[in-house]
Formats: sequence, C-alpha cells, structure tokens
Amino acid sequence: MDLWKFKTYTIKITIQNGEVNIVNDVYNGVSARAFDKSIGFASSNRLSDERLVIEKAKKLSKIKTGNEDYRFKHKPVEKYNNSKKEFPEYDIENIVNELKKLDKLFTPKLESRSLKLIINHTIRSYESDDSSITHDDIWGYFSSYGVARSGSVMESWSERKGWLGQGDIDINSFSGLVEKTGSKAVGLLSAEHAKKGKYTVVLDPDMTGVFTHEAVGHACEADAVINKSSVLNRLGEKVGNGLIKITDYSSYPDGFGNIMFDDEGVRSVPVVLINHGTLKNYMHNTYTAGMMNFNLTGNARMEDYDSPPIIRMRNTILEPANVKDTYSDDDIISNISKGIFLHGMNGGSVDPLTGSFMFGAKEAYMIEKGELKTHLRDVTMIGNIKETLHNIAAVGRHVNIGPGFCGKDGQLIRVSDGGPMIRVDDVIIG
Amino acid sequence: MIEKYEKILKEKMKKNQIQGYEIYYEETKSINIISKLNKIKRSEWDYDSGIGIRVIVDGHVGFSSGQRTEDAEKVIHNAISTSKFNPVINTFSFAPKSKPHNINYDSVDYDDEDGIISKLKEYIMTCLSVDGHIESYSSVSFGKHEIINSEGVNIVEDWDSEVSLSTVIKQGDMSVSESLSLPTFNDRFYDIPNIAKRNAEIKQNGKRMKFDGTVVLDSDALYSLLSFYLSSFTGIRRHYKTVKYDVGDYVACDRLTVIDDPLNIQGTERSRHDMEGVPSEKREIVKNGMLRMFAYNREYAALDNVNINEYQGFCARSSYSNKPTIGFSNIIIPSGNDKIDELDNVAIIRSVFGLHTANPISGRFGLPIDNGYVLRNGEKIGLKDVMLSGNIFEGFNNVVAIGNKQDVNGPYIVPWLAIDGWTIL
Repeated sequence: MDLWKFKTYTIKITIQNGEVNIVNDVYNGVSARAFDKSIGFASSNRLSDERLVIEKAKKLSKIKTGNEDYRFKHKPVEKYNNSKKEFPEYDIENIVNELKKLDKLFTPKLESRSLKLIINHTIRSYESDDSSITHDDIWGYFSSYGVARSGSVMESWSERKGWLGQGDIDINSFSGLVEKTGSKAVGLLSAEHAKKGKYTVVLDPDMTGVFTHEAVGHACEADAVINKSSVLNRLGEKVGNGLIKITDYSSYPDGFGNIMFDDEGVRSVPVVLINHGTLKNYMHNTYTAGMMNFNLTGNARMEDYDSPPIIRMRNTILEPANVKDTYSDDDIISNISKGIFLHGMNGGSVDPLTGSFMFGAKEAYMIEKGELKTHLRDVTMIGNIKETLHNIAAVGRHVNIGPGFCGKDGQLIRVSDGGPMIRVDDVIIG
Repeated sequence: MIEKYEKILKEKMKKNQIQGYEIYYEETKSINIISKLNKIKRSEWDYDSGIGIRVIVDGHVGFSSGQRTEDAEKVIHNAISTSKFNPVINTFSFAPKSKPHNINYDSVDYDDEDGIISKLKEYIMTCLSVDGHIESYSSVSFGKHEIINSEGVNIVEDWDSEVSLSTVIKQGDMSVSESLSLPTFNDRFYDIPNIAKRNAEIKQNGKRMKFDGTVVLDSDALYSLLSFYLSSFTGIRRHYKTVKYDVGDYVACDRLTVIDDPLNIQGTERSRHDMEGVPSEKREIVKNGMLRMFAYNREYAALDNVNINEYQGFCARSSYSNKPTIGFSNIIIPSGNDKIDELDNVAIIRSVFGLHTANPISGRFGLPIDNGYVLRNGEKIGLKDVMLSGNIFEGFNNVVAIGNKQDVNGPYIVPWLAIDGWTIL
C-alpha cells in the first residue's frame, strides 16, 4: 500500500493588457494505491478521507481479467524529511507592482500582451511499508506573451523562465524576456511563409530540446516500451548517428525538472538513453523495472495527489558524444548552402509507436550560401524519430536548456530539455 | 459548508464591505479502468469538492476558493483583499434571479458503484478481445453543483454523468485511436474497438502520399478542429484583441451554420443554466457563414462594453478552484443534403493530433494525420506518416459539401464536411 498526502499553496498572477488577475489558493489531498489482482488507486481532496481512499483502492485492486502478471521491483527503504511544514509569506502587493513595471516594457506596437507568474509550494508526503519521505517542492514560472497585428496578419511570441526553490523573486530580471517578446512578435509580421519541401535544417537549442524530449524521451519511457507503444524498443540498436548522447538527468544545473526522490520513494538517478547513437537504457518506475528486470531510475512522478505516479522525464538533454566531433554555431550555419534555421519551440507532438512527429518553430530563417537570409514564420517540421536521429549531421558545442511542463495521461509536470545547435539533413518542412 | 460562507458574506454585505457575492459549490466523482495489452492495468476512484467565491468590492471583482468549512473566513478575506488588483468593472453585476429551463435527462446512477465498475469492465473486456489491443480507458465522471448569489440566484443541480471510452489498436507497425463520450451508457461503446481495428488495418496497408484534392473531415476529425476554430469566437479573445474577425465577418461558407445548444440533451455539455446561473439558451454563433456573436460571460461582457443581457450565458468553470471563464456547450452543425460517403477521389480524415501547435490567430496548421485514408475508385488507401496542412478559417470558407446525417460524440453533434484548399503532404 502506498499513501500520499499533499498540501499545496499556489499564487497565480496574470496581467493581460494591463488588467491584473490574482488567484491564490491552498488545497490538500490524500491518495492511496493498492495492488492485488490489478492496481487500485483512489484519491480525495479531504485529508479526513484517508481510510476511505485506502478502502476504495483495495476494492479496485481486486478487479481481474484472468491475465494477471504483475511484478514490482523491490525498492530500498528510505527515510527523508526536509519539509519546513509551513508556507512562506509572499508580499503579493509588491509582486504585482513589480509586474506592472515590467508590463510597461512591452512595445506599444503590440495588439495584445500578457505576463504570468506562478509560484507553487507543495509539501509532498509519501509512505509505503517502512519508507517515509516528506519534502517541500517549491517552484516558480514566469512567462510573457505578445500579439502583433498588421492588417489581417497577426503573429505572436512568448518567452518563459522557470526556477526551483524559495527565495526573493527578482522580477526585474525578466525585463529582457518582456522586451524580446514584443520585438519578436512585431518582427514576425514581415516574415514570409516557407516553401513546403525537404531541407537541411538547423535546430537551435530550444528546438533540439523539444525534439529530444518529445521524440526520443517519450519513446524511451519504459511504460511505452512495455506496452508495445514505442518505436525505440530494442536496447543495443543503433538508432541514430554516433555523434550524439541523450541523457535524462535527475539533477542538472538550473534544471527545472530536478528531483531527489520520485513519487514512489525511489532515489532519482541519471539515465543515459542513447550514447554514440546506440539505445542504452529506458526510464523506469517500480512496475516496469520489475517486469523488465532493470534497475530503478526514479522516474515515477505525479502531478498532484489525485494523479497516479507514471513514468516521466526530468531534465532530458542531447549532448555531443565526443567533444572533438563538435562545431561552433557559426560553422554549422556556414557549411550549409541551402537550408532552414529553426529558432524557438512552438509546441509539438509525437506518436512514439510509429515514430512520427511534428514540431513548430516560433520563427525560422532561410540559410543561403552559409548565411541567414529570409525571415520565416509558421514553420513546422515533420519526420520520423529514427530517420531524424540518423540524419543528424553536425552537433554544436554549447548546450542550453529551457524549462517547460510536459503533458502525459492528463498530467502536467515540470521538466527541462535542451541541447546544442544541431544540423539535420532531409527534413520535411510544412 | 455553503451556509457558513453565505452567512459571512451576508454580514459583509450588511457592513458594505462588499457590494455583491456569488458562491459556487461543486462536487465531482470519477471511476475509471485502464487496460494495457492483455490485462487491466489500473482502476481509479476520485472525489473532489470545494467552493469558489466571487465578490464585488467598489467595482472590482475578487475571486478565491477553498475546500473546507473552517477556511471560510480566510477564503473570503483572500477574495476581498486581492480584488483591488483587478480592474474596475462598473457595469458588472452577478446574474439576476430567473427561472431556468426545465429539461429532463437520464443520468448514470451515482450510488451504484458496483454496477458502474461492472459496465466499465465490460467495455474494457470488449477492447481486450480485439487483436492488436494496445491500451484502453473507460470512465464515468459525475458532477453536481450549486450556485447562490446576492441577486437571489439559488440553483441546485444534481449529479449528471459522462461516460467515455477510448482505445488504441495496432495492426502491424501502425496504430490508430478511437474514442467516444456520451452522457450515459450506450451500446455504441461496444463498436469502438472494432472500428479502431478496421482503421488500423487500412493504415497498415497504406502509404505516405501527397494529396491536393477534396479533404473530408468525418465527425471525429471535425470535433478537434471545431474546438480550435470556435476558440477564436470567445469574448476573452475579442477583449484581448487576439482574433482578427468581428461580428458580421464571414468566417465560413454561406451554407455553414454553427449552433451552441446547452438544452440539447444528447450532448455531454447539457445544462439548464451556465456556471454563473444564467438560464441556458440555444444560440447561433455562425449563421450561413457569418459570425453572429462572440460568447461571453457577464464579467467579460461588462469588461468589453457589450450588452450583458444579450451576450451572457457562456460562463464555464474548469473547477471550483479556477476563476470562471468562457466556454461553449453542445456544438451543433445542422446537416446538409450531400451524400458525402458516396464521394470518390477524396481524402477521408478521421483524426489528427498536435492541434496545440496550430497558430490560433492566423489559423494556419500542419497536423500529423493519425487516422485517415484516400478513397480512389472505391478503394481505401491508408495514409501513413503524412500531415494535413492548411488554414482553418480558409478551410471553413471552402466547404464544398455538408453531410446529410449527424454523429454525436461528447458535446459535438455534427455531420461530415468536405473541404477544398487543404493539402496532405
């Protein structure tokens, strides 16, 4: 039996076209997981329902199909408690005033603009058999968004920053993001649409990150593999060019996905997924590690008390497999006679089973004779995971990571992803 | 719980610390079963309840939420103290007392948990019996709510249900997903896994190909594209100037009409009133291609200086803990006279994914096709690893045929549409 108790304090402040909206909320919840013929999970937002959720979880775990075969990896006993068990006081009025100053930094040329600040503080408590883990999960997230218009053409841009831990929030440090949001949205109005077709493309670190996370990371989650829903289903297979290494780090400098323990009470460790182009490992929870007989990696995470723990990434980063086989960013561009440079992630999705994916870029530039030329908007790349991994033709030296929220099975969780600039040949642009 | 909140709010009204209040109480419960490959993986039970309150303080509207009776003072204090940061909306007031429509509908029995589990397991077992089963999810979710405000609204809405089933079936190295949501249990759920299997077989035997002809959106594909299309026509988008159209503009071909109808009991978004207590009404959002109205709740109608009583009625809430927003209810497109299922040399699209990557302002999109085929000389040629590319607004202006029958799934009651000008590549 696993038992979770969460207490959460959140502040969400939005300033949209100068109008302020604030939501600050405190909520609790308790959930339980039982295993018998199958897995039963029950939750309630009333902490007093602890016995009820245990009873419901036990009842649901008796549902069977006749094909029962469940093995969970034994996990070491852990005792940990670093929680201060209280929520800090935030000076909301001061934060709002600082955000209002930021709002004035948007260019007046914007049709619409918004700033959003989220501060989240959750006391997460987990108990199972002899293990007992309680810790404070504190994070903040800032985003700015702008829409520019010229006649019937409207274009948008967004910037973001995420951080972990409590401390004074230096709102003034976001000023560069706000100014960039405005100037980029306005600049896109005069950009052109790309001609559809097959190109050599260069992904900036943001796009490298989204490809790494969405296309490779999700396909390396062991639940996708065990459920026959991943195209990366044979460890040891050469799935990509030998230039690359992809790791899901449990902790990384400035990583927004850093965790010490996962939500099954397992100490979180880094997992090398691909090295020199070869598929090396998967990310596991106690169920997949048990079924596949692998070591635990500490990747079981839950968004909130009412979401069962599932395999999630932390900080998923593409790096050069060998530093000697790398290029400067300038060299990557200058070696291309005709191509497209994709800058900034604008969402994406992937079918890990077939390996098909599509990602949008915030903006792009035509590369002609080694130089960035025509500014492009609404650019989408489409491809297949393995083909793209094999078509990586050059890897940059400088890794940059960015924060985000990953969605899976209706749960959002904080993560980071990133990498260096990379060149990929034969990519379909739509 | 509500009584305690109301008592405190009434006292604050008497002392003129607030000039109006609204209490929204919600309870939700859900039961679901998830299967993977050849077995049931996990079953879940969830209960949630809480209160969201809004207050008017010197023209500012404040919001806060809580889960416990003993937090009432604190929650109300939060709403009042943070209201000053929100804009002054002089013309705003909470919904006046009125008589909601008396519509009746069936709902799954909330208390019969054993019966619910048994039925959900039946659906899952049907999915498990199909070769190539990858995963399935069956669920029943319930919601009930109460709305009380200082204008005399006092609404108690008892438990209503929504039943859903989704499944992924794989044939060879290709898979497709199918899903269905209806207000109650229905025999249509038993057909879902076999429909998925047939489409996975077509996809498995298909190929990557370019296609420039007429694209037919069947009702499943139309659901997701409609939600993207309609998101442009809310008062929030208009207020914040992130939509390029206005009332009177042509946003679809002149044969197309899009209706919001919370009183239609076939859809899962049926309701006697919206989430701030305004009686439900059937409205034409787009009539014969022309945008007739933007959807508003009372707060955004007041913010945007439109006639509150004319445009209200679209208040939605994702939860008691979130500030009320704007949303559509059941979306209906009246059927046409065209026998679309008899067309040839067309691409039939059943589902696309990645809609969040589409540009909500320009309407441009490039979406991988999960489930679709080209119909050529009566033969179905599955589409593999291809993308549907185009512009949503241009597409709805280029509708060349409207199917002669409607399908119901979730809140959508729509026919098939045939569209020119989009590309598959």
